[in-house]
Amino acid sequence: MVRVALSACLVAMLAAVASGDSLILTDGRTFTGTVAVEGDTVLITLPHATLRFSKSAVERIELKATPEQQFRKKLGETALDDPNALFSLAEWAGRNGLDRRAADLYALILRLEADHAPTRRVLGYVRVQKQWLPIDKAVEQARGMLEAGRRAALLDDVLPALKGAASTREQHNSIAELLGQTQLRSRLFSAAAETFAALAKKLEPPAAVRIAAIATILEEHADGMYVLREAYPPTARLLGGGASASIQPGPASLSLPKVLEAALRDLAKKQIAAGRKLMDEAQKLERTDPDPAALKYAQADQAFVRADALVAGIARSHRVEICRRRIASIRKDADVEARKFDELWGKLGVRDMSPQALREMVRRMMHLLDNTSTDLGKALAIAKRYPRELVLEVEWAELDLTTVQRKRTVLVKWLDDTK
Amino acid sequence: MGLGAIALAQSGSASPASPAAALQAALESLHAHRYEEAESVALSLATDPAGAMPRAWSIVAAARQRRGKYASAAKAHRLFLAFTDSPAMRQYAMEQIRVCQRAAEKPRALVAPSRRLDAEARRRLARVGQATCTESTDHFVVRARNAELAKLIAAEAEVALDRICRVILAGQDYPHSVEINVWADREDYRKHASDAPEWAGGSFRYSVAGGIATRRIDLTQRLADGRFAVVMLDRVLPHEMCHLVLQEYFGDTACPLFLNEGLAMLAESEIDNGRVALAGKAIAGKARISLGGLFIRQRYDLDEPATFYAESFSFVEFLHSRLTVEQFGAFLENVKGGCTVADALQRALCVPASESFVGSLASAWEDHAVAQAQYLEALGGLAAGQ
Repeated sequence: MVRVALSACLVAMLAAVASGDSLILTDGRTFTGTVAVEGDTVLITLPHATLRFSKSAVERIELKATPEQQFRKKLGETALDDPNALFSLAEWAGRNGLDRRAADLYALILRLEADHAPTRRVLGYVRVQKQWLPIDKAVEQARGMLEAGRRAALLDDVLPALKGAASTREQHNSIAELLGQTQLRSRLFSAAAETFAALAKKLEPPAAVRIAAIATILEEHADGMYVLREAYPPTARLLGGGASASIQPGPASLSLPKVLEAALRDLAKKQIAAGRKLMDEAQKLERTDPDPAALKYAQADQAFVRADALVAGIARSHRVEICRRRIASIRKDADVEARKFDELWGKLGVRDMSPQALREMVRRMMHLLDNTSTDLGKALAIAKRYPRELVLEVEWAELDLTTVQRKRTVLVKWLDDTK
Repeated sequence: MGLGAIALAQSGSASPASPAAALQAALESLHAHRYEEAESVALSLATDPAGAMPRAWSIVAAARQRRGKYASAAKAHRLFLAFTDSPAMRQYAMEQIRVCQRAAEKPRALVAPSRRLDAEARRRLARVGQATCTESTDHFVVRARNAELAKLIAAEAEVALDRICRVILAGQDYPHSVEINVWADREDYRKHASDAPEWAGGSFRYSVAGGIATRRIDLTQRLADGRFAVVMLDRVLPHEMCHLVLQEYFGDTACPLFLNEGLAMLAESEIDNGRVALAGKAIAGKARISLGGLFIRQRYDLDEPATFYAESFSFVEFLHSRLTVEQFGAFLENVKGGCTVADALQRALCVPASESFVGSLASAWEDHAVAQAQYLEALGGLAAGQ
């Protein structure tokens, strides 16, 4: 009887604590898991099942110490001036869900020994040029090293360390691109080609298009020599300030960043030329075959998208031109509907017609307004993709949409009033 | 191989002796303007009996070309051409051969045709006879009351047209016939030339009636004092002809006024230093028309026509001298296609559109225009001091 009372008392305590690991039943059976109490039932969660028992069936519950209790115990046993011992405890805390305790301990370790490498690594730091930096800053630092020509240090130390510390996909991709660039500038052309080809598979467009193009350029120019057909940057002669720094037409090493940029621009130019050809074909078809023309415009836009992926913004004005042409085409359709509407509007009050015929005509007029409105909406959506360049088209469409809406309201009111 | 080349070859990824590293060393020398070194390394690679690297001929060619050794550069380009299969590379090599050939020729200074005329010839050209003489060439039918003048105008018209189409308009064709009428004096000109402005000494006309296009240029033979109008030969003829060619080239598209006038002035057979000086002074002073303003000026809103013309010439000459023939041709095509001047230029250069482009262009042009004017002023000062 006393035993049962004790057991009940323990179970009552458990309702508050709700944690334990050994459940001993009155029949002698023992289970190990997480114990919870729900009313008159005791639950134990095992790795593959949850068992329920009546409180009366429970002999006793042996609670395991909570992680927090265990932590306190371990902390008392740890030398607080020993970074390695503290590090072991911090790792244990981290593994047992005591992230805050672990963070506190890591901070303590770094106060004791700022260069404690295991702690720095756990915290996502990377050692670059004798400095521990968070990975994003370390990647920036590595980019600076690349610009400063410290390629050997990058290839031998920094990039492997960065690779080891990277945790996100973006970080891995940034580091892979940095590796490819470093290999390229170190004239390791085939290694760079492989790095870029592998990276291209992991990326999404538009970045994938550019990186794949770099890989192709390097594969096609395995000796690292690229022949520029015009000076690069192309604005150097016109705008000045960089003529001496520009690359002259002729052979040059792909290890120079400007030469690679020039090669990418050459590919973008090809895409633009292909797009322009399609636009010319579309223009010829526009009046007679609008659907094939629209298809050609879409294909041209795809070519321009590829060009923009290779050199950001290089084909923007061509894409704007496609939009302008599409808007002009939509506007023609809208004008046809608007003219039909105006004709009917002109007949209102002039021709004798029955109330029924008049209502029918007003309904037709509303239908024409709806068509116009749809066209204007399409034009507006296209124009809004390039609001800076197509500001007039946006204003035109918005103004006309307002007018159409106003006219529609008048017609609807008339229909309602004459019901 | 020079020391620098060896050092570079050794710093490369491949072994010091490897052809790949040597090729990179040659490219590095070329980039660093060490042309002799580049040529030497590349030549060894291109002619290596153990395994020649024909692509190295392009380095040899470029190194020679940059040193001004055009004949041997062309030879190297030909060798590169012989070994390359790539259409783009073949085109590059052929372009460079042409560049070398042009560079090897002594550049011919632009000389106004009137400079070849002595006082006696000018007197003869000022004579006005009774009968109208007609002279025909491939593109022109010239009518004047002076046989020698008709012949001279016909010959110079062909020269001017060739320059306009080939040099200025980047290889445009002009397969048409133009009627050129040379009237004795201003009064005669005003009586016969249709639509001739009061102040003009020459004009052009392009009209289409009944499906037939008429192309006509009217000129004035003599100045008010009876002397032969050399300005007609040197400036008015090529100027009006350029307008005529542009009118047909642009068709329904409006050619911006600054471009139309700038190109026409560029077509004239000698640079007018007065314009260059005026443009520089205007830009440096308060009378300047900004580049943006220049782009949109129309004939009816020219408050300062002299400044407008001077700046238009200066800017168009600047563009023409800084762009390649292909880029300038593409620029004109883009303007013809309806682009703004800024868009047309950025498309021609094939660069991403930038809002700061016009500002950068304006500064580059203004620096150029002011420097040109200062140069002329310095020359004037030198001449005065002598």
